[in-house]
Amino acid sequence: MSQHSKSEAGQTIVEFSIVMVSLTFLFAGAFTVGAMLNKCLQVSNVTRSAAVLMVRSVTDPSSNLNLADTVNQRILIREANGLGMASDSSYDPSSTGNGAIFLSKIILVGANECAAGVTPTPSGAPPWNAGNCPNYGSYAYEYYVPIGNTTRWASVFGAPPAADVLSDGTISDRNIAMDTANRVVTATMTSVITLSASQFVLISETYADISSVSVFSIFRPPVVYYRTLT
Amino acid sequence: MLPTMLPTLRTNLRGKSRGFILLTYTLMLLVTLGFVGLGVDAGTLYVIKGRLSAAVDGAALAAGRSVNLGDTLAAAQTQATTTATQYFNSNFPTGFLGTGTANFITPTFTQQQDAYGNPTGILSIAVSASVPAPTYFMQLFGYKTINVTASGTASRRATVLILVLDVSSSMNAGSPTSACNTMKAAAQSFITNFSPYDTIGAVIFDYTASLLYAPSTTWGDGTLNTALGNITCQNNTNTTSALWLAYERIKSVGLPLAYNSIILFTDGSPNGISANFPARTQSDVRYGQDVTGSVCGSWTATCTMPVICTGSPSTMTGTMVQGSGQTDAGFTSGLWQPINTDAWATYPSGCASYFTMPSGYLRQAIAYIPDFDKYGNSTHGVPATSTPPTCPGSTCTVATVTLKSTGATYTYDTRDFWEFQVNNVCTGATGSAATYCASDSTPNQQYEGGVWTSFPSPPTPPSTGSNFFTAGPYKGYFRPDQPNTVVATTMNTAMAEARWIREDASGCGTNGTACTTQYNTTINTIYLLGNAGDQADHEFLPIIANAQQIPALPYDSSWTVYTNPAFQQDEEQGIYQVTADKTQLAALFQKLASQVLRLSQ
Repeated sequence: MSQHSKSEAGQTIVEFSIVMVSLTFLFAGAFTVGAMLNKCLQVSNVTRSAAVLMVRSVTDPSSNLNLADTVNQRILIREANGLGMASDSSYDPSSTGNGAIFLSKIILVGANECAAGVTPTPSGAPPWNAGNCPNYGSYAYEYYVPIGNTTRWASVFGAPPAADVLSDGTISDRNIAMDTANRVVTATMTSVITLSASQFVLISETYADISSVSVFSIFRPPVVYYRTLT
Repeated sequence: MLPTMLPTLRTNLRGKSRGFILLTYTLMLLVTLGFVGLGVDAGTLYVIKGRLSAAVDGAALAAGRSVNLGDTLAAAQTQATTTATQYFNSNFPTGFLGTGTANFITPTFTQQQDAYGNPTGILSIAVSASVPAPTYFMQLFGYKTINVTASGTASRRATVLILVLDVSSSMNAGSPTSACNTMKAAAQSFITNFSPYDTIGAVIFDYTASLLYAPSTTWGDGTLNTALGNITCQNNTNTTSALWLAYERIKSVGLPLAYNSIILFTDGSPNGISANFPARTQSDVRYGQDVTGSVCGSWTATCTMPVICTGSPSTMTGTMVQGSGQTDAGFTSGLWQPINTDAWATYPSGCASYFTMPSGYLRQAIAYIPDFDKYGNSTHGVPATSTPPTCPGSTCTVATVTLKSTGATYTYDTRDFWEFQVNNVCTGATGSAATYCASDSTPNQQYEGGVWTSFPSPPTPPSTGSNFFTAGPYKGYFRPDQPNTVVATTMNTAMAEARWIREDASGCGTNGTACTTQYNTTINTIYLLGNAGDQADHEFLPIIANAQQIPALPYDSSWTVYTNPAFQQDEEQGIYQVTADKTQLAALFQKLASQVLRLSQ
C-alpha cells in the first residue's frame, strides 16, 4: 500500500468518526425530543380523558360509571399504554408504576352543602356560618379517586382523610360540611381557581415519569405533570 | 502525453477527495437539521394544540355548569363567559411552552333543535381559542410563530321543573310561623338555584288543582317568586289532579331531552277523588244524612236512603273530598272542580230541587266511587312488583283486588282494605322518634293505616267495616259516604297517576324517534309530617317517587328498610325526602336542587 492510500484511509476513519459522533448525538437528541413530545401529548390526552370520564361519572349517577373501580380505571390505563402505568396485560393500574392519576371534585362549601350535611339542623340555621357548619366558606373534597403510583406522587391539592372516602370515591354530605380535615388549603385552591359558594370544580391530574425515552442521561426529561379543570 | 498526465490527475483527485465526506455531511446536515427541526416544531405544536383543546373543553363544560348563576339570559351568559375564561386560563397557563397571549373567544349559546326545527331541551355551549406558538427551527425558514386554534363544545341538559305544592288547610298548622309560610320561603329559595335556560312552573292544590305559574324561562324576573309568596293555604288535598295538571304542563313545554321533573311537596294524605261519578238510581243502606233530614238525621248513622236525583246526566264529574277525619263515619262533600279551569259538575235534574252543590248531601246523589278516576287511573292502586318481607307497623299493602266493573283481579299495592287512624305510631316511641311525636302539631297522635280487621279501637271498633259496600245494589263498589274511603281511593289514584306519568308513551314514534316514554319525567317528593294529625304512610310517597327503598319515618323508633313493593326498575327514579320538622324544609328543598342540577348538567 502506498503512502497516499494509508493517508486516505486514516482520513476517512477520522471523518467517519466525526460524522458518526455528531450524527449519533443528533439522532439521539431528535429521538428523545420526539419521544418526549409524544409522551407529553399522551399524558395530556390521558388527563383530558380522565376529566371527561369524571364529568360523566360524578355528574350523572345514571351512568353507573364508578371510577374507583379498577375495572373502569383500565379505560384510562389503556389510553396511557406505554407510560408504564399498568401492572399487567389487563391494564390494571400499578401501585409501583411510572405514573399516577388523581381525580378530585372540590367544592366551596355553601348553604346547600350545610343544609344537606348538618343534620339535624341546628337552632338558628339558616343562615349558615362556620359556627354551625364548620366547613362553611372553605374548599372541601366531595370526591377523590387516586389511581396508580400514589406513593410516589400526590395531588397538589392534598388528599381527604382516607376514612372519609367511600368506596365509590364520594364523600358523605356530613363530612363535606363538618369534617375540617376534609378541607383543601384555600391558598392552594385560589392560586389555581376561585369558586363561588356551592360551586364545584372537577380536577384531573396526571403524573408520568417518562425517563425511559431518553437515550443519554443528559437528555433525561423531567417528570411530566398535567392538570385539567372542568 | 496522456500517460504522463495520469499520475498528476490521480494525485489531484486524491487530494480533492480528502474532506469530501465532511463536506457532503455538512451539506446533508443542513437538510437533516431541517427535517429534525420540522419534527421537533411539529411535535411542540401538537402538544400545544392538545393542551389548548383540553383548555377549551374545560372552559365549555364550566360555562355549561355556570348558566344558573344569573337570573336573566344576559346575566347567565355573562357569568358563564366569566367562568369559562377563568377555567381556560387555569387550564392553559400563560406562556405554556413559550406561547404568546391566548385569544379566547366568547362562548356562544345555542338551543339544539331536532330535524324538524323543534327545540330539544339541550343547550350547546361552544368556545374556541387560538394562541401564537413559537417555532425553534422553522424560524430559519421565516416562520417565527404559528397560530394554533382549538374549539370545544359542551351540552347542558335543560331542566323543566313543575313545583306541585300542597296548600291544604293542614299547612296552616304551626306557630309563630306556619308550615305554609315555611314552605313558601323554601320554594322561593329553591328556584334561585336554577338558570334562565331552565323552565319552571308551579301548580298548587287544595281540593282543586290550579296552575299558579305557567312554565316559563322568565321566572327569574321575580314573577314566580311573587306568586309563591302570595300563596294561601286552605281546604283539602287533591294530589292526583295536581300531578295530572303538572304533567300536562310538562308536555306543553315539549322538551323531551330536558330533565323533566315534578317536585311534589305535601304534608299529608290526599283526600280528594276526581271521577265521573254514576248517579244513584237505587236506594240502599248508607251513612246519612239525607237532604230532608227526616230519614237519616246524622252523618254517622246509617239508614235506607231514598233516591232523590233522577233524570240526566247519568254521571257527575268532579272531585269529592273527605270532610271530617279519616274515619269510617263522617262528612264527605262535593263535587268540586278537579282543576280550577274545569267546568263545575252538572247534576241530574232531580237533585237541584233539593239542594245546591257542592254539598255534603252528595252521597245521596252519587252511587259509588268508580273503579277508575277522571284521568283513567285505577282507584285500586298500582301493580305490585314485590311483597314486603314483613308488614311493619301495619298489615301488608300488597293484596289482590277485584274490579267490580270488569271482574278482573290484580295484585296491587293498594289502600283498598285500609282504615286510617287506627295505629298510633307514636305509642312507645323512643329517642328522636319520641321527640318528633311530642313536638309536632298534634303531639302523640300520628296514625298509620292498616286493614280494617287488623286493629281494635280506638277510634272505633273497625273490624266490621270496609271501604266497599258489602250489601245492596252497589255491593263491591267503593263507598262515597265514608271519609276514610275517599282517602284510600285518592291515595290509590295518586300512585297510579304517578306511574302513568312515568310510563306515558304518547308522542313516542313521532319524528321517527323510538322510545318507551317521551318525557322521562322524574317525580321527586318531599313529605312533611306532623301537621294537623294527618296519618303517616310509609309507602305512599316513595311509590309516587318510584324510590327503590321504603325508609323509616321520623316517628319510627326502629325500622327495617325494605324494597318498594311497587318499584319499577325501568322507570325514572325520583328522590323521596321526609321530615317531621318544618324548619328542615329549606334544607330538603336545597338538597333536592343539588340533586336535580347534578342530574341535569
